[in-house]
Amino acid sequence: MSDLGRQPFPFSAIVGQEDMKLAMILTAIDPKIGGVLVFGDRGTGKSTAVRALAALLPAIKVVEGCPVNSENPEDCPDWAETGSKRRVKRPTPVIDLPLGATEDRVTGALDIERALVHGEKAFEPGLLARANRGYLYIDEVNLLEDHIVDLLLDVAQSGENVVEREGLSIRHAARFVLVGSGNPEEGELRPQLLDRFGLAVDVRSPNDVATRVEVIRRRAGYEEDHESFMVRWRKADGRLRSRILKAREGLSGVATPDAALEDCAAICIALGSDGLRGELTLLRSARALAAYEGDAEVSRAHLRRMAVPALGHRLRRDPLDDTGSDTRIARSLGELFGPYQTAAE
Amino acid sequence: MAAAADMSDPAVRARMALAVLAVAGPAVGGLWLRARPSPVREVFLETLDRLLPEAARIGPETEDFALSGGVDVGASLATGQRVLAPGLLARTGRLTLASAERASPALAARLAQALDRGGRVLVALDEGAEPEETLAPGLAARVGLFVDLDGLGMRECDAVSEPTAGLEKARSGWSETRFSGELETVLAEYSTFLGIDESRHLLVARAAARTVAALRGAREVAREDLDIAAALVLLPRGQVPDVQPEVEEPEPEHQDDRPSEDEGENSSDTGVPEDRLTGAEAVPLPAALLDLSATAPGRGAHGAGAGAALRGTTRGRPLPSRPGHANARARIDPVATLRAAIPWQRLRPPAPRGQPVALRPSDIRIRRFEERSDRVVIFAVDASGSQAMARMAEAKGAVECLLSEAYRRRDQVAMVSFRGREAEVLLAPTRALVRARNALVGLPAGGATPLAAGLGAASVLAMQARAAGATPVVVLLSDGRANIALDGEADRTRAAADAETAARRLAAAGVESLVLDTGRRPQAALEVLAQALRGRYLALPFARAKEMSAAVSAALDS
Repeated sequence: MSDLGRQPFPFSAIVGQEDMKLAMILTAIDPKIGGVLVFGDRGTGKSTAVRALAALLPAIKVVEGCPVNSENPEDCPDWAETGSKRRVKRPTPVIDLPLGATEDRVTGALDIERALVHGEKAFEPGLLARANRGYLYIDEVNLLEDHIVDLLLDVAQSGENVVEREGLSIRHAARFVLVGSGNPEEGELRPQLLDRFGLAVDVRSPNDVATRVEVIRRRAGYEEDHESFMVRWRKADGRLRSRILKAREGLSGVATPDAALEDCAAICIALGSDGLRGELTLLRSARALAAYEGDAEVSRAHLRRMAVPALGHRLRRDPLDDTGSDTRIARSLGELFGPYQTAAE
Repeated sequence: MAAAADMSDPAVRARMALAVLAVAGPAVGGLWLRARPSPVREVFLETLDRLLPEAARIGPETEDFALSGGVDVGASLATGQRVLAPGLLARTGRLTLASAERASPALAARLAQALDRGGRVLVALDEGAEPEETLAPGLAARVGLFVDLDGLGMRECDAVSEPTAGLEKARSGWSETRFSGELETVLAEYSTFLGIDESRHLLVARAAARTVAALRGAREVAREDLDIAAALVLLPRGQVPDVQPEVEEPEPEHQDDRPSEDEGENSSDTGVPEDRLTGAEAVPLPAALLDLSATAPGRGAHGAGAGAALRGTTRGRPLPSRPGHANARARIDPVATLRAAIPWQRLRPPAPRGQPVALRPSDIRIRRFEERSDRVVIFAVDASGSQAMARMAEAKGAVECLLSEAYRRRDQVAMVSFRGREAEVLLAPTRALVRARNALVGLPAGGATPLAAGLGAASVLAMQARAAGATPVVVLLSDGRANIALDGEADRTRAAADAETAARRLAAAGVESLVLDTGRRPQAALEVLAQALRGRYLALPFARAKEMSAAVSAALDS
């Protein structure tokens, strides 16, 4: 959080908000899931969680001085004139996209300084370049201006940022996990953008006193007794890290039986969710969940657990019908597979 | 115990807030000062300057460049060397945001980010006159202390500026004060009781309580210290439930003002007062705190219409560049500038020190942007008796279709209804269409047709929307003639004249409008009214809701 040289709040120390934490962990296991949208009240630790997760992940290797965090010297774009071939370790980048950021700050633009002072046509990389191989975090994503949204959609889809303006013709890799947060009461999100997020979760402020006390305690511990607080949580974070790394390795080995594929399709048909993206995300996230839980194959329980975050935001919605999509999904799942057994199903 | 501060006195609250801010600084995020310019405000700010000198002053018009810094183009051109200007947000210490109620969402987001980086304190000077004019929610969440100076006069100046003892000592000692686990529970209970969800506020209240304890030289926070902190941080933001038993009979009319949670149709009407009462019994707050008059505006989750459009030359879709000055609030288009300069190169003396291009101020080209402003569709719905008899259901259906249309186009909607003797605003501009629909479902019908009052209320909303940077469109749904004049008299002639005057006014203000005749037979009077409005008239005697919607979207699109 602070730039005064302090480590971010430990991920494991975030009280509650299990859905949000799980969704974020799964995108860390398989970035192809395609980002997380967190909707809910202010001050529920949304931005804390993103930063904490990035700090939890192992450092990435990047070519020194490469503006797009390339892993190998040959991947560095020509325009960057990186020069160095040395590889250094960097923490996974988390780049904030502020509201009101201009298009050239996001995509990059002509380097005005070099153009005017030296008369050279050079490219000044933007936020998308810096977010490559990391996280792009947009707070209040629902208030983002349309033309920036269009641009993000395009880049998130292709994994590449193409700048054709001011006589420049530049392209560079821009693969990042998009994490958006917002408060739905302040504005709806366009369906196109909604669909682009892999998982969507709702967060609520805890309303019982005991949880609130715990929130205060941990936060106060972090602020006031930083060193020992970090030491206390280091172990938990370390365990989580190795679990994520193990899941990453195990991901390709997770079997997807035909039954799971059929279940997946059945859920999507029953819910009438648009397009294949939902189905793919459901399967991907269920696989990531299976890997995270150390299971050898995707089961119905995994699909069930992921149905709401993977499909909830994709259901065709009557804007005037306020029945939550969660309820609809739960109903459909119940009809398809019988009632829920237990959480540990 | 040292003199217990009487926190029901606004001057004492103001002084205490200053002391806490001066001592705890970044730990409380900042101070939200809600006050119109006044002598007390002057004194308050002078005292603040003494305690915590200002590092940077920011206003709603401060440009991005000044905030974030970058290459200073003017200076770079002049010297032929790269000149970097650091931004205001790079500074640590006390930042002041003047006219905070007018800060754009973009500015608020940047300030919020700067505050999150730590080491900064923001003093937001909120001069909002209306409850809707207030601090952006993202900032309100980060700026911990709240002070309202309204109602304080010259007499209280001395009380506000009176120095607080022990500031220096508290500065070094406040972070050593103990905050017991028991008080943590109390703090959590306060916030639950007041309905405060933002966990930042709890931490700020905790820091403020420790500071208050340190100020009186204590090493451990007492319940009284926490109460004082709560008066500065939590109470102004909370929904203070009434503790008097009278709340058991809430007036039904006011129940609908704040549609409760979006569940089912009318299910939760009875749940609200009970919840409040149990809460009130569970946590007895000190009585002196409960009758505080100062509450922060815009409490609850609703933001200050952050979706409203922003005008200006810095964002949006690009337009062709134009000649202009480098120092205006504008951004230079380097390519167009170079292009403008190139043809003259031969004629100009060579550029100094090997610069490839000789630039003149007249070459500078400025970027221009166009930003489409949001549209607010204001429905003025006739809920009179004749309408109710004839086609209220259809009118409601039509509005629902229009709402879906608004959703597709991402318009905001607002709703005014008129019946009997007066008009009422059912819904201020919002994007939350579910609320619009709920407002409509609960709309009672019956009585006369005060058309002029309805148009009047709609035009007030239209002007507000325009002031916020949006484009208003008024859609009038009615089935007939006005029969209630503006003064409430049942006089058809005067009623018609009043309605026409109101319509002309709306037209003169340049507000687009549309009249939907929902009656069984087209009414000539409504057509006349549409002419006065210089708007379209659509008679939909037998149209179904769907067709009506199609007609309206066509009209809106053109």
